[in-house]
Amino acid sequence: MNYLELIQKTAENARNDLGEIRTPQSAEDFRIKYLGRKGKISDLFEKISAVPKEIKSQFGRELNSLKKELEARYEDIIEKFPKSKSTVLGEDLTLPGLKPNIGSKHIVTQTLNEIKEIFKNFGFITAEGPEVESDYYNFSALNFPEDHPARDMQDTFFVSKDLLLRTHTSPVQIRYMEKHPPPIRIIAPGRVFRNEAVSARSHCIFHQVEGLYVDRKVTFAELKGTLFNFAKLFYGSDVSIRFRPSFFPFTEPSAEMDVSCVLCRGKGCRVCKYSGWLEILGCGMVDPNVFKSVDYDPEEFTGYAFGIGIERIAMLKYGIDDIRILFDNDIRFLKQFTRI
Amino acid sequence: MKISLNWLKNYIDISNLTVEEIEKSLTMSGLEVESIERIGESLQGFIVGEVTSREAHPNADKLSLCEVSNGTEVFQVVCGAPNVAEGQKIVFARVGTIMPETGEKLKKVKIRGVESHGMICSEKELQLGDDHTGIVVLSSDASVGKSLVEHLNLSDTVLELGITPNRPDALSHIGVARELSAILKKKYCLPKIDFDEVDEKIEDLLKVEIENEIDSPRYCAKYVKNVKIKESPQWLKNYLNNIGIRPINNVVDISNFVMMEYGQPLHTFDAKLIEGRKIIIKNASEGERFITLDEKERILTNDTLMICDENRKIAIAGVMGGENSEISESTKDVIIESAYFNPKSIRKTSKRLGLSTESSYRFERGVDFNNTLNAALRAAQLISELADGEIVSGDIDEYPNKLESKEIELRIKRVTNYLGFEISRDKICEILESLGFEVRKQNGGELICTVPSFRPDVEGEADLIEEIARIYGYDNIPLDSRISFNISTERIFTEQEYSLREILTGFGLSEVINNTLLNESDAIFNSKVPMKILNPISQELSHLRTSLIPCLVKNVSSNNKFSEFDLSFYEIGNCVSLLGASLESFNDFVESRNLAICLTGLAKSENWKEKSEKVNLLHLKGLTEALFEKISLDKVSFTSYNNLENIFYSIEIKVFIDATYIGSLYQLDEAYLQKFDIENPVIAAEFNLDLIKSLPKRTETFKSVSNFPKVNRDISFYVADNISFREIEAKIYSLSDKLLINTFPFDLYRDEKLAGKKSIAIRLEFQSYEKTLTTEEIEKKLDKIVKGLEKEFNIQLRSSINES
Repeated sequence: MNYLELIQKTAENARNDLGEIRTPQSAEDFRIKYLGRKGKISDLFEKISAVPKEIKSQFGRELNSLKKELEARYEDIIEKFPKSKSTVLGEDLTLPGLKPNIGSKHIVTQTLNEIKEIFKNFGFITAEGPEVESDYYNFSALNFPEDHPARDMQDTFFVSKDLLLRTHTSPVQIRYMEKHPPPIRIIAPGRVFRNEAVSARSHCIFHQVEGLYVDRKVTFAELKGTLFNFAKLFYGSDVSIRFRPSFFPFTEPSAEMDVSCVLCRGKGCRVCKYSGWLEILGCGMVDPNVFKSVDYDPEEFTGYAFGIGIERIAMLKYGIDDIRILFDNDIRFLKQFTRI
Repeated sequence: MKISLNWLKNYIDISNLTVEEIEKSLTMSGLEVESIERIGESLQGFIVGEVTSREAHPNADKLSLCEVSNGTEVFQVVCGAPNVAEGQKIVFARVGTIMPETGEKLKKVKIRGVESHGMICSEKELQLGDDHTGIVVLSSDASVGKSLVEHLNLSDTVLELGITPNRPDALSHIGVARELSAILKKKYCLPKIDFDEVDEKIEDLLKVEIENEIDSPRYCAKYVKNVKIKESPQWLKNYLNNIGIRPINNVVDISNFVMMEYGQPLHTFDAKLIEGRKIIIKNASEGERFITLDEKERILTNDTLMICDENRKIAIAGVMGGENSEISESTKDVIIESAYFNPKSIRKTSKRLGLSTESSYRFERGVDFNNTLNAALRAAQLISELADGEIVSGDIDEYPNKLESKEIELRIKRVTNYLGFEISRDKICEILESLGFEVRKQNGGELICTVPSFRPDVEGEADLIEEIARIYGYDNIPLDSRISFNISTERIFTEQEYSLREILTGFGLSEVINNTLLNESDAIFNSKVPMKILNPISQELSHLRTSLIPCLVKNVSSNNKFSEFDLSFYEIGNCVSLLGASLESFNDFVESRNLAICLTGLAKSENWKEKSEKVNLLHLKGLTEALFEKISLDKVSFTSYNNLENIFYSIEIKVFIDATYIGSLYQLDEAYLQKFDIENPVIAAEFNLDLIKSLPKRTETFKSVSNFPKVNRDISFYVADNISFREIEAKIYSLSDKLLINTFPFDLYRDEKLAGKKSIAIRLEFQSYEKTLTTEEIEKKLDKIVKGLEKEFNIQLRSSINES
């Protein structure tokens, strides 16, 4: 058999074998037999030095063309086999995925966002005010008379004779009403300051959401209705609420709202001090004196206001018993709350 | 404030109510019950015992061996108290009794070889007092076997009430009884005041002159002679003990009792120590000094209201008495003071002296000006009963400024409009009258309400409505779930801060929240001047932050301590800096909303496939670019500086939007980080969000996309290291036409061997809107760019131009 016939023969065998390929394994066997490093095609190429000069170039051409043909047909065949993905990637798929870094929003922000969302649905828009406030906005305009014990309810940091760090978000009420005629419906989230020693239960900074609604014929019953619906949306429809009389100089009547304890469902536990209730906010009807300080006519308009302490709500929600951990910013704490 | 139910029972019948019912009634009407203490509960098991025999312990000199009877059995007890004696009635605890001091069960013990089957107790062991020098000896008529709680009538329930500052009327047992009477619709009664007086007249013994009539509108006094100062009877001691007031002697205890009964603070003077038989109420002189009962020297001002005798000051009015006139063991004659002082004046003094007492607490909230004399009479009665005093006839009642009860008009319709439902006029009258208001009906349907003198807080119609709602019961007010809507004429967009947080969280950063208050050195960043707190909690929290960055650095430091090194934080918060030396108004400082970002450690969390590198300024720059792109801010530019002089950072990149400087990126200085024990590089940025919010946003309009493929070409060359990418990029664009749609570096290499040069590889993307670009067209453009770069920057092409 001359060299060219050798190619013919190999080609014939190979084409037959190609026709027999049914499985990936037989395809692989074919590849090793013909196209592998020690396969028949390689064998033939090695023989090229022995091929007589006159047919050498023809031998090379034909062999090359056979190689290309077999490679192409082999590729065609294995293309058609369903592939196990692992063989495609060539990786161990039990390895951990290649994750992007995961960030987190602070739970105070998350809680605030939830509260904002609910009140946004009720038609409240967001307003803001400064943290360094004047005595007027923080106290006087809110019906805290000078030299009145009501001022002791909120231990204050002073930065000058008339400037202080706001002790509540209520000054935003005044600032907003000064600039906008009624009707208004706002919430005002923000940071507030109390001159209190830092402990597990209280901190010198915390955050509040203030709410204010002023219009003709706003009533205490609506205040109850709004806040009850808020509680249901926030805590679930099986929550119960109660209103207790309280005192804030800028509301009259004033109330504190309790929700049935979210942990024991009202049965009584350590968190609710066995009362079955958790205090979550203060509220009331806007005192006519507050309207007078912003030139609203208290005969024409009535309104309600409320203030929610965000840390307290967040701590109850997540079962945190030391407020300081909120501001330690330990990454092992922050990363526990990766929810949007 | 604490209320003893035993004590309360003197004024209102609460026998058919459980403690829980009382708690609920008070809480739901505004006197919040904060806690309930059951007194005597810890003394279960302690009984009256009798020492039937006592002999010396066989093995110890200081111990006694006693036999104690409980009436039915006799126990052998070893006792160490020096005062134990045969025949005494004592407090006995059997083995198994839980000791209140330790909370542990009493065990049978052997003391110096002799068994002891119980304990004879001291005051301290029972937690009835501090005395531990000997055992408690009970009265000889105590009946053996009876429980101690019963014998001493110790069993009581005490409510701790949180009284809001508007309710001085509830700062007493009678006040709480009055409130309960309105809630429960039950009568309450006042103590009967009835006593004999001796012939001597008070006018002959004492004169009272009021110089400051504004701050002291009413001043009453009673005079009681020949009192015997001694211990108070058990019932009085129990009452005071149970509400947390330490009994002292009968006269002092009585004045405390009457204060807690009526809410009227009293003061008692030793009459012998009052010089000139005269009491004068006037202001102190500026800078005068005075020693109060607590033996502290107080510096007075000219607006401090003082009680004086003819020659000296004897008390700070309404706040605290003086050492020079206090009741002592030797006191014989007592002057009882009962006054109404101006709440503002008392509050000012109390605040300035930093001295708050039960007395000042009540005066500054306002006491009942119609009960001033009555309280003095009540005290006189009790002193005569419990201290054998003789009450001098007549009273002093100086009342130069008659205080009038307020009258307020109430419109029934207003009640309905305020509360959102109707309460009948009769019901309204009933509620107000039950609270002590006098109600007169007007023809128009309005009510004229006279406010009782004990309710200084009720000033207007809204206050009356609160009273009505409170007693009607907030829980009985219906829920109205409607809300009237005024459709906003302004469109409300998602707040930018909300988006910023979403984006940064999506980029893998964690939000932190830090305190605004810091120590002075941490409050400073850059050259900003921090605002100082005049009354800080501590030096660690004395200034307001001027920047968010120092706290973020501290967060890195504290996390590093737990081996958390790869951190990426952001914070949004307010910062304040002063503009000049003075701080009087809002013009003297700037408060801004800032966003800060802080990166340290590895840029990406480690995994098994890709190597991560430590963060550098370009990571933060990229993050910044992406952030601004996401919030539609265009025209962002960066200018970098080396700040070798700065202690906080070594490199600063200033960020501008158009021409507005909005913040900087910083490579924080190593020495600065070392102060916080941070070894890794920390990269931080801070932006002014108020400015960012005010900038115009990109308006996004549609641009048609090309229907023809993009062609990429890479060039790779050496160029002098000092030629910036920005220069190269600008040159490339200037050498091309609009078909070059994008260019970016995809490889950068520096090496010592390159001797001041760097190797850079740049991708060029070409695309036409009209046709598929041919290779010839691209090659021509590319050739122009390469030639241009060679000419401008003397680049050396590193490889042939590759197709990719």
